[in-house]
Amino acid sequence: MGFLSYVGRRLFFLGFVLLGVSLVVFFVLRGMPGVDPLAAYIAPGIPISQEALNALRRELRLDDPLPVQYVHYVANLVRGDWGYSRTAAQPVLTALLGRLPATVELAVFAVVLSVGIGVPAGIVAALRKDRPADVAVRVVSITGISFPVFWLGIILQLVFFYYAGQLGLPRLPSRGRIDETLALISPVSSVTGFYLIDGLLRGNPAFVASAARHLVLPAFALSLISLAAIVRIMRASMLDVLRQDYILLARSKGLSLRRIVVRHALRNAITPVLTTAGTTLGILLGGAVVVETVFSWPGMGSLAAQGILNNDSVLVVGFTLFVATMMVVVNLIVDMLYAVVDPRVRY
Amino acid sequence: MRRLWRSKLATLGLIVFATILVAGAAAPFVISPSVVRDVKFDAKLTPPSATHWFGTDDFGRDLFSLVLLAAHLDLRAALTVVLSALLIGAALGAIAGLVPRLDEPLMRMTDVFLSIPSLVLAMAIASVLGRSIGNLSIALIFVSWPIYCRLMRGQVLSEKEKPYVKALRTLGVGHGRMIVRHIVPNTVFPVIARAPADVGLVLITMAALSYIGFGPGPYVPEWGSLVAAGQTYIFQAPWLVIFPGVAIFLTSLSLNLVGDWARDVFDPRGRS
Repeated sequence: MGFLSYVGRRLFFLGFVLLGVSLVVFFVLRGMPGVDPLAAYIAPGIPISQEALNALRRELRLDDPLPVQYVHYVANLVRGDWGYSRTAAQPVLTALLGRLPATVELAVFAVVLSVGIGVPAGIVAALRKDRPADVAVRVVSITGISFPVFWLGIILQLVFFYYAGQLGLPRLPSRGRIDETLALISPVSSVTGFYLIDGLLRGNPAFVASAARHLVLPAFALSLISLAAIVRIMRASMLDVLRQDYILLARSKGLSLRRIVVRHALRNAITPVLTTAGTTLGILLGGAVVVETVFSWPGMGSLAAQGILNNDSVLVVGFTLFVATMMVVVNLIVDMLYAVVDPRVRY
Repeated sequence: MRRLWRSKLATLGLIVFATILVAGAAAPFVISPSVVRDVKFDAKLTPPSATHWFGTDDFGRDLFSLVLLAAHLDLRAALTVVLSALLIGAALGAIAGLVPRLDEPLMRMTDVFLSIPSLVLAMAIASVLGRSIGNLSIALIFVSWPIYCRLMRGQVLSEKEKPYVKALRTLGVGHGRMIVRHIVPNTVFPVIARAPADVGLVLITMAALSYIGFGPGPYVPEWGSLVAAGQTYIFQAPWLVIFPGVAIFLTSLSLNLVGDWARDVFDPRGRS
């Protein structure tokens, strides 16, 4: 079967999953037993007239049967009308898209960190199987997944911002994406919304440096969520590849272990790591809610967290839908990357 | 060597978890509930000492008592969530594995659930239901069952094809008896083996969600909310954040150690 028909099948499946996701989200918004769906749309504590309530009911078609409501709801989603967020004082989709670059920058940096640490650690563990280094990697990675990320974030702030400052050491910023004074003195107009890229495009090294420093702590905290999974998969996959005949052949040719691992084994062992990195990106987007809140990072996640405090379910549910959509699309892209990395993959 | 190491670590994990579980279970009987409302502003933010092991919070309350009371709430909620998810997921998974007509719809349903990050979906559900620990637990059950459903289905499907099942069938063992007496007991352990690590995961997710705002408020001690409340005083009184966080970390670490071992023993695919 050709690549195109594979893509076609995957796109069909993608459409199906997105439809399913919209059903779940619709059920959460309108179908929860004992919950008045109108409650999500009105601010608590602020008086609202009966006419306004009735108008809202009509607009949301709450008096129609659920299937009709659902069709209407999906039609609105497709048209880009995801409802209005009281928290952001903006339409939900506009608010989320505006904050998307901040979240993506953070999540991508975290994936890079966890792959950058996790892949070498997994290789070492596989090559030193059952020896102390392997055990050490295991213990460290189990410890890593056991950390509550929000707590770790606060402890990182305490150590690298507060205590470092007390000891006169260079401190790492504990909140935000950029030094605010710097942003006032030498502002960089937004091109992509990614501060690192924007700073580079505008040729402003101080801006890039500040953005990078601000990324360190939150990205590290976030990377711990996926690190253990990457180490585990890399180790298992490397062990699997090292047992193959062509590795034996390479060895019998007298190639150095380093060359075998780098040239022959890694390329084949990395595919499952790619998938994991793809799936963990979704988990990281979830984790971003927590990490962004800790570090006052102005992304989608911290906005959603504010939405929770405001009982702004329209925003919170919109965020869920957005993240799920991103995750499905990212997984599709990752699967296609397979072919590039591993030519053995046939569709 | 590795197995030995692991079982040692697993034993350590089991001991730590059992200690926390016993402490948490006993907490409401040993510690007077009035501790929570015992506000003493002249004793606020005192560092850890012999009288207050973990120091006191911004209301002057004994943090050690609060962390123990929170252990009760968090552990009970996390265990309830995982047990319910396990029962629901395993039952649906068994149905999917045994009734071909329902297999496809059930599996597609789990596809959809698994395509949404669990923390994010739990957030949406809990936000619509309203902020409380009960609603948070319901939301977490909603997002935790599909993985058990998948596991159980896989187990049942492969068990069904084993020769002994056919042999028993020819011996005249009925359908119901076959499922209850033979298939389920043989398939359920690898599914249960996932539970310890899952309790750890649910615990962390619950603490994270209550940290960002789903918490039950200052008069119901909960680990995540304790961290959130302490964060205001992080530079002044770091113990307010450190101790509840260590409690979450140790509980989840001990569960992960046990879970790692359990997966190794019960899951034949994980064996190397």
